[in-house]
Amino acid sequence: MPAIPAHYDYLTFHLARGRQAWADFAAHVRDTAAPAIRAAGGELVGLFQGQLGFASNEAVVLLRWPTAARDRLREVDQAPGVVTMHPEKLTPTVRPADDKLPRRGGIYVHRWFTVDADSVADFVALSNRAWENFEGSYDTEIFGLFTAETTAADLREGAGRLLLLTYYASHGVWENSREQTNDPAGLFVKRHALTRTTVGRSSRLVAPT
Amino acid sequence: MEDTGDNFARAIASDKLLVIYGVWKELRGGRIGPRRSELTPSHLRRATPWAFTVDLIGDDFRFGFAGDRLMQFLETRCATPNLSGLREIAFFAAAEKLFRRCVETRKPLVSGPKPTFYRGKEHLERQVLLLPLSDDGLDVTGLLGAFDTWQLGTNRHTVSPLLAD
Repeated sequence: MPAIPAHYDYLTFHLARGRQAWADFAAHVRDTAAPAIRAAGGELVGLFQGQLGFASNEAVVLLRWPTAARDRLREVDQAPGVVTMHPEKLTPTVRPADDKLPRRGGIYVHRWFTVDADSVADFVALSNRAWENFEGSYDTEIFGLFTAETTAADLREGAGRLLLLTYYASHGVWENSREQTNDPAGLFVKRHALTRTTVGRSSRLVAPT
Repeated sequence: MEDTGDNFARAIASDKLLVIYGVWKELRGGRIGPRRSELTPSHLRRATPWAFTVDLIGDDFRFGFAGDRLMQFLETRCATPNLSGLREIAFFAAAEKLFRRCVETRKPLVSGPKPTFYRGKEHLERQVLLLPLSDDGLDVTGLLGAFDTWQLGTNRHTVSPLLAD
C-alpha cells in the first residue's frame, strides 16, 4: 500500500509596509509559530522573503503536516503585521521526500503552472524525466513539485495548478538554465506545450536556517 | 533638464540598462510605473545581475533586491538596510539625492556615465538608471534601478542627470 503523502500549506502573507513589520513577522514565525507547529506534529519547511516578482511586503511560509489536520495555522495568521493571508493546500508529487528540507543560500524560484486538469499526470512525469539532466547541468536543485487543491475556479475552467519550487545558486544560474528549458528538442518544451500559463518569482530562504 | 523619451533612451550607454528600461516601459503601460510584484525574473532575464530595487518607506529608502553584479561592485552587504543609515558615505548620499529626484518627479532618471567615488572603485565610471514603481497607481512606492560600470575613460561623461518626459 503506498504511503500517504505529507500535507503542505503554502501561505502567502501581505504584511504592513516597512522593514519592522517584516522583521517582527519573521521573528514570530521562527520563535513562536515554528515551535508550536512542531509541537503539533507539523514542520516549518520554509519562510521565504521575496526578491523579484513579489511585493516588498509579501512573505511566503511553507508548512508540512503528517495529516490533513491543520489546526495550528492560527499560530501564523495571527502573527504581528499580517494584513492578509492566502492559503493554498498542496500535495507533493515525485518530490519532495517527506523529510526533505530546502538547502540554504542561493535563491528559490516559486513557479506556478496552470495546465489542463487531465494533463497534470503527464506534466509531472515529464518534469521528473527532465530534471535528471537539468540538475546535472547547473547549480540547481528541484525541491518540490506540488499539486494545488482544486478550487471552484479550477473546476469551472478544467484547470490543474502546480507549484514548482527550485533552488538556484543565483539569479545568474537561473538565467543560464533557461537555455535548456528553451531547447526545442528538450523535455521542458514538451512540458511547456501542456502549460496554459506560468509565472515564476524569486525569493530568499530566511528560515529554517 | 528634461528631454523626450527617445533622447532619454539614447542617453543610456549601457545595453543592460537599455534592456531594463524597455522592460519597465512595457510593464508600465500608461501608469506611473509597474507594481514591484510585476517585475519577475522572466522579465529582466539577462539584465537581472545589473538590476536592483528600493522601497520607499515613509521618508526613507530600503534596499530590496540587488543583482549579482551590483553586489560585486559594492563588495559587501550594506551595513544597514535603510539608506538613511548610510548618508555619511558620499556614494550613498549621492544615491539618495538621485532616488529622491526620481520619486519627486515620478519620471525615469539616468545619471552618468561619470566617475564613481565609491571607495576602492575610483578607476571605474558608472551609469545608473532609476525607474518609478507604484503599488497603488497613485504614488511612487519604490524604484527599479539598474547600474553598470566601465573602466574610467570608456564613455563621454555627463554631469547632470537626465529625466525622461
